[in-house]
Amino acid sequence: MIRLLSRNIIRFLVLVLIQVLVLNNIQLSGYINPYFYILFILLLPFEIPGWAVTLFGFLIGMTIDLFANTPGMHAVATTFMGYLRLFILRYMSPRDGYEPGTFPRVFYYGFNWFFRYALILTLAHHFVLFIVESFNFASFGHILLRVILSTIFTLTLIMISQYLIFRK
Amino acid sequence: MNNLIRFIVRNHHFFIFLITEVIAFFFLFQYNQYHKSTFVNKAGVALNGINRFTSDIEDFFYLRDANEKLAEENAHILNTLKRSYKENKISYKEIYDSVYIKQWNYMAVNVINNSVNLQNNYLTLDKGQLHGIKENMGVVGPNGVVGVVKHVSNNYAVVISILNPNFKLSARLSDTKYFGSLHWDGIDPRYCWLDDIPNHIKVDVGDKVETSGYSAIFPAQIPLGEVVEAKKDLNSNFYHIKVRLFIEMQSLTQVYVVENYLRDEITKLESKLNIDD
Repeated sequence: MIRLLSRNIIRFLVLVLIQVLVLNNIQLSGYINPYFYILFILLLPFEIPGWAVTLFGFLIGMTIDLFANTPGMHAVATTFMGYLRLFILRYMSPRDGYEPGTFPRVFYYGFNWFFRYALILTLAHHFVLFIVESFNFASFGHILLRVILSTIFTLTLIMISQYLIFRK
Repeated sequence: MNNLIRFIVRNHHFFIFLITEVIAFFFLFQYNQYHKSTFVNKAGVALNGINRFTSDIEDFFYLRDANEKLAEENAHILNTLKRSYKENKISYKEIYDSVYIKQWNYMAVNVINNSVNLQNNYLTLDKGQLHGIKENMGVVGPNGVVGVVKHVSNNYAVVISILNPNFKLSARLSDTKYFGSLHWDGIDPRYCWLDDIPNHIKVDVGDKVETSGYSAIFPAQIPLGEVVEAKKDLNSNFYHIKVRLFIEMQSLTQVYVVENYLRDEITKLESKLNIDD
């Protein structure tokens, strides 16, 4: 239990640092911003209740915001994503539920399941984030393009991480 | 209350989401200049629409007040119009002359009320004390005597008309200069009666009657009328002369108030007789 807690705390810190120090400085042609830190929410254990995931989402979003000097922007998106996770998990749950002791990873539930899971939540997060960021529905096509391109980039990073770091 | 708490507990996931989102949006709008200004603008447009709608409705309910206010303003503006003011101009000029002492002064005034068909007839003039009119001043018309000022206020004067049985005027025959008193009998506004003319003199129909100038109110030789009928009163040795007035009291508009500058002197001197007696 304590190992689980410390692991998540460390993951939180490492992901925030990667996001703030490296990924926030990458901007490909002004369209693509990878937001790898949402992996933290994706990888939270099944046992954590939905409301806690929502709060954790708010927490990590706010932390990123503090570094990026955009208070509330990421928090809005990550809170929404945390709220949504419970319903996505319910929707995608196997016939006999999630087995105790397993985590939402490729290793336990396969590439197909994890990819769909990560895709839906990443899309949701990016969609909210870019809408809030531009805060202007007139350029909706532009926003959609950014959402799709950034989602591809973020998702690529997440899937790679599943094979390089979270192999077990 | 219990149900509400139960509802919140049952949906705690959603409510926590709601609260954290509200906090996040609060930060968003509080600390991001772009989002703040955009939010204020967008919200402003919406609020303006609502405000205009409600103020239109409010305006409708305040129409009555607005009308009253406009009416008041109208009244105020009407009050400043020239026709709301009475002319206070005084149309006479004093000339000092060492050869002639000016005794009589005429002041043109307008008649604003008049009556001829009552027993006691009065006129109202549109000038008063402020313009120099005093009680017991004479009032003459274009061709004859109108009356004597009875009461004055600041801006108006009431005149006792010649067509009033209480008014007696000292008058004389132009040819013979015999004088008597002219008075109205209360019947026909065109005719007055001249009494106290002794019946040994000759009076013909058509003889002119004028003021005597004995009263210190009217100057002498103002034409008053002509004799229509001269009845000899056998009991008293005096004529009872019917006089047709030149002045048409029914159609008076402009008259003159006559002031005798020497009146005080005359009355003071004459009052000494009473003391002597």
